[in-house]
Amino acid sequence: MSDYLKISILPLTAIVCLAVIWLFVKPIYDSTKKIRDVTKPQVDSLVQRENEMRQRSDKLYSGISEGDQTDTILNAFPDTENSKELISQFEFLINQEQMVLSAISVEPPPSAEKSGIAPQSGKTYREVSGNFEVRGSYSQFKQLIADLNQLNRIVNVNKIQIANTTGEEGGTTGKYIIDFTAYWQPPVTTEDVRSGLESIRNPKDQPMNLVPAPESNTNIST
Amino acid sequence: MDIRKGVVISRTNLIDSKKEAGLPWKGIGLVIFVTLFLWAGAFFYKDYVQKQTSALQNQLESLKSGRDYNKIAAVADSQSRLDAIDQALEDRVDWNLLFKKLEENTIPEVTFNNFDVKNSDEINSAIFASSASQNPEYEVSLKGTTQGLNNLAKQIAVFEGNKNDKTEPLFTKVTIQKIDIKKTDSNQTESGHALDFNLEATINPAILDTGFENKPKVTNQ
Repeated sequence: MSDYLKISILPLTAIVCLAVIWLFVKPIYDSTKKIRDVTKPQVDSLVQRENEMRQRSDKLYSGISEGDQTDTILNAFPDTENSKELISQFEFLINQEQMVLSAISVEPPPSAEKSGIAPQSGKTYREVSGNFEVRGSYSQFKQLIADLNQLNRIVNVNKIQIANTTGEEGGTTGKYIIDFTAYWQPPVTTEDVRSGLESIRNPKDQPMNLVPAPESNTNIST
Repeated sequence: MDIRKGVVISRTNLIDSKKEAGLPWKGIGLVIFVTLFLWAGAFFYKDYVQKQTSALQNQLESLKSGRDYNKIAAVADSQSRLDAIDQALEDRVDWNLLFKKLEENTIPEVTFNNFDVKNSDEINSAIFASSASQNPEYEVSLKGTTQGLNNLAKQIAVFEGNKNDKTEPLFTKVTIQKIDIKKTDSNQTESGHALDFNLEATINPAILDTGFENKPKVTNQ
């Protein structure tokens, strides 16, 4: 064995070993690092998120289950248009205030009727608009407006027209036309929730919208 | 003897020099050992991290399979409805407060027999196809009767607010649309002719702002 080889064998071995490390060990370490720094934290975050979601849903569910709060919320914002029920509620209030109902109509807004989309972008709910005409005294009318604010279902009055008219018996009475908007929202189904949750793969994904896309409205007028 | 001793010494030196020129087995072994150690370590470490990750993935799958979709849907539904209620209540106006203010701001000499109020955004959105603004303006149209132009002027001044008073005016942009002076034969009073008038005005947003707590802050734009 030559002296040259004897002298250079150790550096050569070191070079070969470094090459082996570079070619075989480093890729293993790199892939491990990727798993450790990217995949594992992602999965860890998903596990944490899943746990948090479970805790929150349990807590919220027990909250809304107490004292029939679900029914109260559903009464205020029903899951169907339910125009007939709305009209019945108006009739009840008008009778309660001993006023005379002359006319009533309920219809979805024209934009929703034509396009089948939510009437106002950014809002998940849909509107049912309409108007009714009643006759009676001014104090009865004011009480009716107060009653509408106290109604179980959320109803907003958008426009009011008041006119003095002469009644059948010759006395002065008021004619009141009230334009209103009521609201409803389709229910969130288990399928919506399932597809919404399964669409989340990355914890950095945007918050899901579990409310289903609006469908076409039906025109109801009475 | 001295010469032989010298030979022996030189042989010994030769043997020593041969030992120094041998292969550096220890060094080579050490380098190879370190390399193999790193290789094995990388394998073991990867295996360890993979096991940890797959344990987490199993935990995640287990959590996912244990989801109660009915419960989550009920919660999501209620939450979404509550948010929608909040938004709907933002659009609510306390009309009775407006009527109360109107009664307080109507002078005894004036009688109103027609009243229309509407959201001016309805007109704007119909024309420009834009969504309603956050702070809608409400336009009022009033038809009334009184005796003489002085009373009408007094009424408008009350609606627009006393400049020396710190209270908010009920209306802004009050305009007279029409005045009909009724013909009277001989009953003309000192206060003037009976007249019918039409007024249009915009409700001061600050008045409606004091209505519901849920309403957003309305600013006079």
